[in-house]
Amino acid sequence: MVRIPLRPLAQILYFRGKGLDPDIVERHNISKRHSSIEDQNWQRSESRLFFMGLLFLIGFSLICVRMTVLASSQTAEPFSEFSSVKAITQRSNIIDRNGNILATNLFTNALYANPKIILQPNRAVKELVRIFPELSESRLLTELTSDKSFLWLKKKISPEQQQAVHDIGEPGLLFGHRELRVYPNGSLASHILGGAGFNNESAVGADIVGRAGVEASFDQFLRDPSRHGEPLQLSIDLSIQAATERVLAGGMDLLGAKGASSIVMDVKTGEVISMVSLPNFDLNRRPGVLKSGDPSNSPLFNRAVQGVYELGSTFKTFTAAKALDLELVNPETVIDFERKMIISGVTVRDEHYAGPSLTVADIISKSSNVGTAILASKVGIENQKSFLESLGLFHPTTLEMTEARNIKPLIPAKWTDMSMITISYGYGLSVSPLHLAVAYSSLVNGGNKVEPTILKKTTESLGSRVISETTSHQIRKILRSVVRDGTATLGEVEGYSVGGKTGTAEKQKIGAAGYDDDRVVSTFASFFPSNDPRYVLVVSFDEPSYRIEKESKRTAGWTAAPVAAEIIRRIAPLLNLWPTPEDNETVQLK
Amino acid sequence: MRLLAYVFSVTFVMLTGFWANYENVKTLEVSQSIKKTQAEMSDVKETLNVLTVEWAYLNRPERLQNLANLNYKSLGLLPISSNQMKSISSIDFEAIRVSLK
Repeated sequence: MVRIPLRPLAQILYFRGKGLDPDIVERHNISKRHSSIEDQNWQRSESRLFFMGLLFLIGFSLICVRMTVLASSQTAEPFSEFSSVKAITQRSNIIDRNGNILATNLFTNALYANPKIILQPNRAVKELVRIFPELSESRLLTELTSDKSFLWLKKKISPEQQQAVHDIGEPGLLFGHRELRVYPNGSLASHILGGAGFNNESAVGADIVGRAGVEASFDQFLRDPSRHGEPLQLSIDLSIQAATERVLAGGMDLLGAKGASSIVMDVKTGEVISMVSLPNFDLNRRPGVLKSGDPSNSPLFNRAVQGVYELGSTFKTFTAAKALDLELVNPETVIDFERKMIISGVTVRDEHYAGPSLTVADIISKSSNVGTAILASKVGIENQKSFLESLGLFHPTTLEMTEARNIKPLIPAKWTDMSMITISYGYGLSVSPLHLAVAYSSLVNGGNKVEPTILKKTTESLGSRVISETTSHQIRKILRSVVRDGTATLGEVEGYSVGGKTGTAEKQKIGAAGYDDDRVVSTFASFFPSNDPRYVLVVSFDEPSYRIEKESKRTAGWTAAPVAAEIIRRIAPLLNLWPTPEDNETVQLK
Repeated sequence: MRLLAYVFSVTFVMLTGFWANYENVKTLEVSQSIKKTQAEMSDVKETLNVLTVEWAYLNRPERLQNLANLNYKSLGLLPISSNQMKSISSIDFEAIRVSLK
């Protein structure tokens, strides 16, 4: 660094020449030098201060940011993820409308083997067969002595079995963690729940997936971890489901029927309170899908939802309802007819002729085909079509089950006069018992369409109007008379004022045209109490037949109606319905 | 004066350091015990789940029905039916009183 001299010779000489003191020059230069040093120091400390300030600013900002993060974050239990590991992997429970468990999970283990590290294959096989007698000894030995490194032995084992396997002391026998879907009620509500199975199986675990029913249709919902195991609540009532299943199974046995189904539905909310299809199956041991033959022969087949049948005379109610709603007739209108008539070019005949004249109410009560056909001809094709469509009989129902969404009613491709006449008394249009329950609910609840649901609801959900309030009232009275003194007298239950309509439809011949009068589907669509309907009950038997004094009884009045009555007798008290005498009936009370 | 300030600040730093360490140890202890409790809770939850399943299994309608049938002699339980339901006004209390006397 070049230092400027404090006493530069040129300046000294210059000052001396002028007769001044050269020390002033020195002092001046010293002060100049000091001030420049001060300037430098000042600048240096200023930059240090700036740097320090910056550091503090960064430090404080970091603290501020951290505090903000802490303040704005959700308060959470520390290590909560630790405790919920198991809960998160769990599939939600399914409960009934009163909170009873229908489906839940248990932790269990799967047994697998690593043949490469098995020490004594012979002993291991012997011991394993002792614990699991269903395993084949010779096959197991071949597999355990092979050069594989992984082999499934059992998918689910109990804690006792696990301990027994531990006791073998074989290092090559290993356990995989498993969650097991458990249905404590066994076969109860089997078609509603559907059942579950494993997917993506590995040694560490496996996914449980729904195979059918609610388990399949709500699969994503049940597996959603963000719901923290909140259960899925169905509209089903466990006790009512059990009572219905028991009575229906007894009925099916007695009648020698191939199958049976029943649906109890709330007429105002569309909630399915109970839905039974027999034969059923044990959900904990779900049978395999039928590989060949008629799928309806499998116990997995849900007759109530998937069974699409021509339901016969139960359709007469729809014809009468439309005729009444259009004010073409009233319940007292007398209609003349013969045993066999040609109506709109179609020959119609009555098996049990009740003519020559009947009121509209009696046509339904006595279930006359000819009378109904006359009503249909008055209603006309377009009205009939639009009415049946408005009742939801043309489309799959909106019930939250995969099976229901896939089942489309069978409707004629071309709606001719022939179709109009036959459909008026229930032939030529095939629907499921669930469709029938929905349609009857809509007719008797005051005339509003309901959508069926399997989930519990708390509010009424009435849809668009299908018939007027007056027509609904008239239909209720007519259907009540069917039970009181018509074709369904065996459907009467004292105190519950049951109303309903029977239907016995012959099944189509297998591999030939025409109908088979030996094989019928007998159905009873009922509702109770008839003065203020709360529930609809549809009972249907597939090929029932029993004999009274050598006479074969297949009609619904003899088969479905008495079973339905027994069901109502059992479930009405469970539904909190109090038996009440009707206006014109007196009940003897002691 | 300056010495006093030094002594004071050094003591302060030591005390705060001690306090911080103490809090740290305490927090770790608590977190350990929470982990333990959580593990216990998890086990208890599993047990509870098993018991719930067992309870549901023991209360399944089919079993209750069978039990009612088995003990019909002593309990005389029958399915509930509409003719068992009567209004209070229909009960003849006077007759009952007479029969009890």
